[in-house]
Amino acid sequence: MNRILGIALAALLAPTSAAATDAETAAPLTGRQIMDLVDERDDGDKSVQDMQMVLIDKRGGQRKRMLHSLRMDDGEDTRSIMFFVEPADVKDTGFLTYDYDDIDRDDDQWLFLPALKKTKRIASGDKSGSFMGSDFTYADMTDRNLDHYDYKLVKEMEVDGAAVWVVEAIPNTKKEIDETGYTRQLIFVRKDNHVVVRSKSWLKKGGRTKFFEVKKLEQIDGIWTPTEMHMKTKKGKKTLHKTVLRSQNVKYGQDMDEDTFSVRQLEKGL
Amino acid sequence: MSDTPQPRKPLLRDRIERALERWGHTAYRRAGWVLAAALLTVAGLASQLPELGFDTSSEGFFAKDEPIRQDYDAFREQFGSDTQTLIVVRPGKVFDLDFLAKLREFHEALEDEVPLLVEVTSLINARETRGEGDELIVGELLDDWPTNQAELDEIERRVLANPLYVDQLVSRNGAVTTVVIESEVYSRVGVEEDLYAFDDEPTEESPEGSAFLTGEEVASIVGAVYDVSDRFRSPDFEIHVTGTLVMTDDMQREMRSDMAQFTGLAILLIAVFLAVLFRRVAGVLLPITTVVLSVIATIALMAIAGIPVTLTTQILPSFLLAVGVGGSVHILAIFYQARRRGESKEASVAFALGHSGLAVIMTSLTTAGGLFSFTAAELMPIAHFGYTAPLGVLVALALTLTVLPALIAVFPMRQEHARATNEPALTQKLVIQAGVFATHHPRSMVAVWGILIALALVGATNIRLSHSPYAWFPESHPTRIASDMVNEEMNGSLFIEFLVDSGRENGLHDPELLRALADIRERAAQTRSNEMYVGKTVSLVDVVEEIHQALNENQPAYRAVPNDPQLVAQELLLFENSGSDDLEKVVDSRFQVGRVTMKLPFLDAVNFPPIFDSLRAEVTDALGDQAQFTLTGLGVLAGETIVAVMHSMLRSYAIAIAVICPMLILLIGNLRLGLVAVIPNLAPIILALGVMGWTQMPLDSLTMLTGSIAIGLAVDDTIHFMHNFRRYYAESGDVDYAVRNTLATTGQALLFTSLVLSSGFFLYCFATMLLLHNFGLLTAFTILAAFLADILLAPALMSLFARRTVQSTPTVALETPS
Repeated sequence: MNRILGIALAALLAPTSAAATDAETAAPLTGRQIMDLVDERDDGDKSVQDMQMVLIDKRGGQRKRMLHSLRMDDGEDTRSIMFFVEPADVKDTGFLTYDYDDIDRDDDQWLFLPALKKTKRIASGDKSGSFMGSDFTYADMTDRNLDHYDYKLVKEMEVDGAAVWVVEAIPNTKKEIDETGYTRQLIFVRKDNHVVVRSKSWLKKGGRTKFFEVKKLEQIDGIWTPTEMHMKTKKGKKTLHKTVLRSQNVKYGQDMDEDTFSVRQLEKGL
Repeated sequence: MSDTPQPRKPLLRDRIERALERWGHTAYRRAGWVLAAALLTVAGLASQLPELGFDTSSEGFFAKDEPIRQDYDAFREQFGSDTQTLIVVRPGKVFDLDFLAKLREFHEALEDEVPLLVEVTSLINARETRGEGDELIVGELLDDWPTNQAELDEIERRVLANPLYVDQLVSRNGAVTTVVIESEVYSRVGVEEDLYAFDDEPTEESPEGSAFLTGEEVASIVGAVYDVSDRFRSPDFEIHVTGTLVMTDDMQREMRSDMAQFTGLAILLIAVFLAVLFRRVAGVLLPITTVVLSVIATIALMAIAGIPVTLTTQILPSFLLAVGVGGSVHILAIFYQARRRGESKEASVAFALGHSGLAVIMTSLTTAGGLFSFTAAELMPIAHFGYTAPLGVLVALALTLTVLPALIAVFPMRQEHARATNEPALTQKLVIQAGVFATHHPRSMVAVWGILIALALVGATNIRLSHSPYAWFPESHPTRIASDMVNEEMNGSLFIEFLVDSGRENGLHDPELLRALADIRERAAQTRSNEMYVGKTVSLVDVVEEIHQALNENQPAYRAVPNDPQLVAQELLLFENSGSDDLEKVVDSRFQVGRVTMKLPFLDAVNFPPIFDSLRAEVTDALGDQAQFTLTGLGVLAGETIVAVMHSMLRSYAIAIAVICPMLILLIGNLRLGLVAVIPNLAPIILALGVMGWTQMPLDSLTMLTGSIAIGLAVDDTIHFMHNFRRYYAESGDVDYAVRNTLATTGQALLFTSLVLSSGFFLYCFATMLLLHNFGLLTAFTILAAFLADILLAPALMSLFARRTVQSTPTVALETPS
């Protein structure tokens, strides 16, 4: 499984096991080697959490959303189910997603609208769209194939007192650009635990850049888990929109199986 | 006030004239220093010329603090630009495999090559949300590329049935398709980024001072679009490019080439006139050098002050050449007279400055005063002209008084020979005879002018306003052809925006308000005013209806707003998740303010206000008390330009008259004669307005300049006429004698300056942009009318009123102690 920024978020959505341990490696690593370390990091499995999403517009106006999410990784495919808790008018709206390891296979997504009392399968290959109206995209939330990028270590520096590698990632296929919406990324990887703590992404559309930052990083059941993340969409020097994503009540290794991630469960609700 | 003599003024005048004479000696003796100082200053200023900006945008007509401009800038900040580049592609057939394949290549080439791109939209990536059985398909129209005719037919059916495509991406008859390019709103110039910086400031306030795209950036976008289009163009792939950016760029390019061309032509023209008048190399070279330096300095000052070249200020170089050369001519004429009397060069220069310097200063001041009246204009290009044109006139005055005498000093000249005869030239004879005729038949002459003025006033009530940027291009111009095609095939190309503010978060989840938006769409479709109509209305309700239909197995009956507000909220949440960012184009992220975009035909903006008023009434009615709205967009700016042209004209004419009349009275030193002298100055402007009314020449952002330009220039002639008339009248007490001698001495100079000026303006008839033609013709006419008023009407009025003045206060009023 290959992940870039997704790794940080994936951790939020589902983690299972033990800590990333590697201390700083002595020998200089290549960009790709660093990304392999990120990819190999244990980000947990069978997780449950409450997500608070604060959407902040350019005038500072805020909207809050609460979701309850479950996530399971069977080693190949990742399944997740999410329900809106707040605001009231979208309560119980649910999304069920199968993210296949086979990169040629589009994700499957089902949606349940309680007001319509119907489940619809959504067919869409585009991952560059907003995730739940936030500045995060589906591409930010899901895994990526490392082979579709050229990596280069461009800088070593400190972020909040921790040493990081800065790796530049350039997609090497047009399909990857079209699907993620990104033409280039700078990924800031902590040397001690291989968590992506920052990233800066250049969007294909509209001369925009996106700034991702892990604001709180905690060890939960020995797994490094970002519990507060910010994503800011900027154009030039102006912030267009910003999202604060907080994780609460994160638990790994919970009791769940394939039936938890079914349409029936989606319609049944929490 | 009585017509009593005012002895102090002539004394002051004397003192000034003597000072000017002394300055003539100084400038002559220190010619090297004067020239070096002047040249260094001009060269220093000229180094700033590359900073000169161009602004042909529609919003550039309004100052940034005007409410109408603030509304528009706020709208652009929220929703991005409404300035699109529109490419119309006309194939043999749109729904054809080969054509679509080529369209895809074209689309991708544009995506790859056009800078400052936000998005390219065409059939290739058109968003489509539809239901098929239990499945909701969110994607692009051509995600599954058609491989046979049956699949093509199915796509054609879906496209022509989708109101979001028809008139936007494809014409309703399916004959043409468009590629829409959305560009960035803000300039990237000066926005450098620190790669690794992560500033963590709170969410910023609105971007004060963010600069919109520069002329160079616009040119780079348009240039890239043209390059790609040229590569793909073929008989079965006909391409036409238009849109606001293209027009802006076309205007800039036409302006640049027109400016260069007219500056050259004006120099040539002035050289010819100077050669005829003086028949000497120095007589041509010295005034032209002086005035060219003035133009360079003025344009450089514009660049330094950050005043852009606009449709109005583009006339500055040729305008200043024609206007600025007058001073040099008057001084040189007297200089040569003195030389012919056998005076030395230095003595002749000093004499010429003493004799004509004051007149040159006064005429420059009145001209500048007339032009300065434009600063009161609401329209920025005209207000800018109000600052730069008087500045140019004053710079020309300064250089005429400094550089010209110094140039005379260093330029080798032969000894002048006294002319054998004083026989006046033919033109001079004609001018004199005209004046004499007028003094002999003053009442008939005044009556004739009275009738002309009355006719003009009647015509003036018929003046037609106009602001029609597309019509400024000749009919054969590619941009004009493309625009006409878009207007016709796509049901319009002018966009206006109603921003509907519900006043609360999620206000636009309310089915009532959404239905009001649908109601607005229906009402707009019914609204008509003359040739104006609404070709298309797009808003959030279209998105809601589309997704509601898709969630209900595509049944047409469900193309409606659901009744349940929770369902609206959930459907919109679904749409937010669907991979499309279309929502941010129609509603703000809090779902408080919605955008209703209407497309109308881009006709003359004089047609806009009535239909805007009707639409405002409909929207007010449809919304009731559910929401407030503001109306903005380029169309609104264009409509407002019309109103502003009218206001600006009235205001600037009033100011010009208020500034110039007292100056004229002061210069003449006599209230009654001063007031009388105002008449021949106003007459040409009234005639010009009459001509506009009778010939249906439109009053627009350039022709409105004519009046104040003409009054400033016409007054110059009057000052020269009155200055001499008073002198000769004081000598003789005989109007006939005074007029004859006045015209004998200054008549030719008046004729010369009038011819130079009117020919200078007449040159604009050769400009590419049509709005310059009318302006050139009208101003040329007005200046000739002013000349005629000065040799016909002024003498007639003098012979009527000067006599009475003389009878009431014998002789003293016009006496000038010498």
